[in-house]
Amino acid sequence: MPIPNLQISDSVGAATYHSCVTEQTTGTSFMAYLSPAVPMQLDSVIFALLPGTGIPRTLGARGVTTGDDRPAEPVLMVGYDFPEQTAAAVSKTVQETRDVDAFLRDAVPVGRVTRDSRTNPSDPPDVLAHIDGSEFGIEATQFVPPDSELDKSNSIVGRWMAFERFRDKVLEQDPYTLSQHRGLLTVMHFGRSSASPNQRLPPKPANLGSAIAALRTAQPIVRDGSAAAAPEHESDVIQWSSDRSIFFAWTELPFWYASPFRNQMGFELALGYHATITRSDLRAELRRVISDHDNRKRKHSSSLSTRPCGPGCSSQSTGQSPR
Amino acid sequence: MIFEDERPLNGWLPTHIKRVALHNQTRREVKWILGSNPWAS
Repeated sequence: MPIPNLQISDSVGAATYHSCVTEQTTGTSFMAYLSPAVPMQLDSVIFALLPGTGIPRTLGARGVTTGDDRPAEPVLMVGYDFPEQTAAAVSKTVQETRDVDAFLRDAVPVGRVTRDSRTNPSDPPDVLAHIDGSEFGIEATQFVPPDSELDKSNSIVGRWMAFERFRDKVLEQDPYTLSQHRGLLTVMHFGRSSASPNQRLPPKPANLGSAIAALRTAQPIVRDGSAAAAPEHESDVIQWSSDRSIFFAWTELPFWYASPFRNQMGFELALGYHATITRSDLRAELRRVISDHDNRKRKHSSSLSTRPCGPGCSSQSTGQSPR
Repeated sequence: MIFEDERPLNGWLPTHIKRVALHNQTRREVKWILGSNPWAS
């Protein structure tokens, strides 16, 4: 598989990194922002590609926080991730049972699960499992890395749900009106890269129309060769909406790529965003999730199985909300 | 990063829940961060 060029340059002061991943042989270009919310030293860049393509599935960087006002700790910057819908949306109870089954598959030796796990009719706990003839109550939840920059009225889950709402609105459009995107992965970045995190969220319901209009107006830029490998200007690989509230980046989809969205609209739509997550953020979120479940009344001695969702997590588009 | 954290709860303990496990479905990895695997033996 060809390895993309990855360029990271200090483009806006000391705190904002602009990265451009390009893949020359497939003639695609891609752009994402990595903007650390805390002072940090970059140790490594993380990226994963869609199999057999130069299309990023995950782009980020990891390092260690710096500064005199806080102890050094591991930190992760996410610049982009592309959730893939791998299954049809199901109810929360069905999702919980599926997650517990997957957990038991990996946590319990083969042959010791004596009955199928099932939703607990007197939840909590969520699911009842049977191992070696004994019944176990299991609480299940998805663990989504938090975005500590968002205020309490917003959250990283809310960001994805808002984007899902926007995608649903796009699906209501006539594909002909968006035909310029056909065959492409269109990545939408909401808000200027230097805007506050709460201004970089997908549109609220009242603003869906203008975002749809921007998508209709956008004219895809897909560079190849040296233009993709070393763009001279930002405008070589991205395009701003007329009011500069949204910018777009495109890359060609492989012919085999299929999703319910592409099958209907002829292209795929992804969310560009960036977030910084420290180890303290993760610990605090883990404690919050466990506390929520710990405070529920319970009849069984319960275990909690948490399913971490990281960059590239496949569940964000299933419509399931972490609890 | 959470799987690599040696002290994800950093000394904190819930009141009722006795066991907590992290599960990475993609990697099929399970890590008990509170209590031990009751089905280990």
